[in-house]
Amino acid sequence: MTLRADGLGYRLGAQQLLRDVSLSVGPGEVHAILGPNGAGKSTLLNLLAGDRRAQTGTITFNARPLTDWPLPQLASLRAVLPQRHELSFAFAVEDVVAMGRLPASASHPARERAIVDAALRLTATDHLRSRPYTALSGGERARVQFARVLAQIWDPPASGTRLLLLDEPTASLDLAHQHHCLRIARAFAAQGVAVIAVLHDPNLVFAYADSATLLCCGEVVAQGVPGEVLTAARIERVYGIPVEVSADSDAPWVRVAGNRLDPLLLPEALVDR
Amino acid sequence: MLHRARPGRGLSRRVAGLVLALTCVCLVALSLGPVPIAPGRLLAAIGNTAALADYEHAVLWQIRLPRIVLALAIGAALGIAGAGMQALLRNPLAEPGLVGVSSGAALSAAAYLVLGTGLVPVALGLPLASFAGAAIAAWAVLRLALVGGRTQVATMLLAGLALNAVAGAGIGLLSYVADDFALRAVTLWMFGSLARAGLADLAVGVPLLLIAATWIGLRARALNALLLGEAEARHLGVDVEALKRRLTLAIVVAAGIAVALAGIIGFVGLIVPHLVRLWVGPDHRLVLPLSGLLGALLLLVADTLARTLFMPAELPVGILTALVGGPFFLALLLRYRGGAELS
Repeated sequence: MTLRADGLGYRLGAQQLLRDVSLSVGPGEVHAILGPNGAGKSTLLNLLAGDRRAQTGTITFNARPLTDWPLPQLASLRAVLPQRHELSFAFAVEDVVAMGRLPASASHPARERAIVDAALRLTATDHLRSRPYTALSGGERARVQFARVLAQIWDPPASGTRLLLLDEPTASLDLAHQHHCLRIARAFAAQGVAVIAVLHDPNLVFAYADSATLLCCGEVVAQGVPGEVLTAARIERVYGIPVEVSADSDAPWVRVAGNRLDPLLLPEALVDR
Repeated sequence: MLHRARPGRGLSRRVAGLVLALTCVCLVALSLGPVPIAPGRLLAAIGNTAALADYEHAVLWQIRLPRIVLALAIGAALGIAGAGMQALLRNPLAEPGLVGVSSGAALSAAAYLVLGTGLVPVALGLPLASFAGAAIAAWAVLRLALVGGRTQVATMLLAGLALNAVAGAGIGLLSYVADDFALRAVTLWMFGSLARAGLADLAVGVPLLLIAATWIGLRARALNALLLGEAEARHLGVDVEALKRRLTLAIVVAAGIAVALAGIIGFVGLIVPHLVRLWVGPDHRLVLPLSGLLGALLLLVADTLARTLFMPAELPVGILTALVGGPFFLALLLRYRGGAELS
């Protein structure tokens, strides 16, 4: 296993944000984390990234406790795409992507440039390369940050397997780029990278994930193959929305059962008019 | 294009340009003063020291050259410390003064000038008092901003603000009880000037300034990563907490020594990195070295103007930088008003 988390518990003040969460992901595997808003998905990803320390439980990365990894070594094997991007200085797009190469030694500048070029092309941000990052739209920024993260773990390592942690990578992307983004994640997985992605859309999970963890209120509701985790009954119970799941078990899909939705309670003034 | 500047492609050319400008300004600064020495005669004296009279040698070596060295070192340190501070806080309007370095030094120096001149001689007591004040203030602000082992930037700015207010009140109180002589000394100190520092101060201060500035100057890639965000920098392998601690220490040393040697010279740390970013974009591999050079250049120009505009009287250089820097800062605020860049 590339990353294994056992019995993670995280408490912030009086609130227990995560309770007894375990998951593991191996080389070549795309694992999706999903759940309603506030279920603890980002908190879990923060723990897996080592940004916060779980009060209980253990995390091992490449068979070694996560906290034992020196930061530079960790950075050469593992990249993290955060949900929000803070950068507010007007770097050129290609310079932002080149920051992903910080952990690499700068001894082969031509090779470093080639990797940055390839990451820009792969994420279809090549045409933005000399634009200031601050002038980009939200979706374009997300793609540039994705390119930076891919550039970071571009090279297959001499030892150990690589890990990609993606926090809502598709959140601000249009339909085509959502699929493009997850196809890239799949392609990296095909080269032996382990991928964990927080996703909201069950259909994307069906299409691209090998396994899934459904979280609700800080606890694991179900875990396993997406088709078994995301049943109509479970989605309805966890999200409180009526859905239909197609019977096609090879390529399942979910759609909201609009005819069974509760009517909205509109303000009376609006109804009267 | 403005932001296309890339290290290697633009750095050496720009450094060369600034170094050339610096050399010219140094030559002008050496030749101007109550004892004018034409630049041509200065150049002639390089090959033949007899080209200048003894008193001219004395003026050059004992008065002008030390002062120029001081201006260059303080300007470079303030420029680089400002760029470092702006990266640390990920805010283009940050300045070392924000963490209380200047006001802490001012309060401590005022306390010394009003109450302590009888205890320790001024030449030793004033720089010591101001550096100690700068260091204690910065330490207090950073300690307050340390929440759960991490430095909170917003808390740091607010604590700096509160400290500035308290220090201002303290200086006001000291001025109120001070006698006329001490009051004048405090007032003069508040306007930074490069005229005070002696050769001994230089021998201790300038190397410390250069060490702190060089340390910051060598952290360009890590500071670039820091602009992405602290978590992002950590994921890129940067030990963010250690970087922040050491960077802060270097900034406090640079700004604190500058204040100790020359009093408060405002706005250089703010304006210089800004001008450089407008010129070459935000990449610290360019911003740090160029901020050092431009800071040195600007402070030397300002100091040369300060000591020659109203000869034989001398204008405190701090007044000059504040006079230019205040409106510049306002223009920056207006430019960023409502913009996302301040976030």
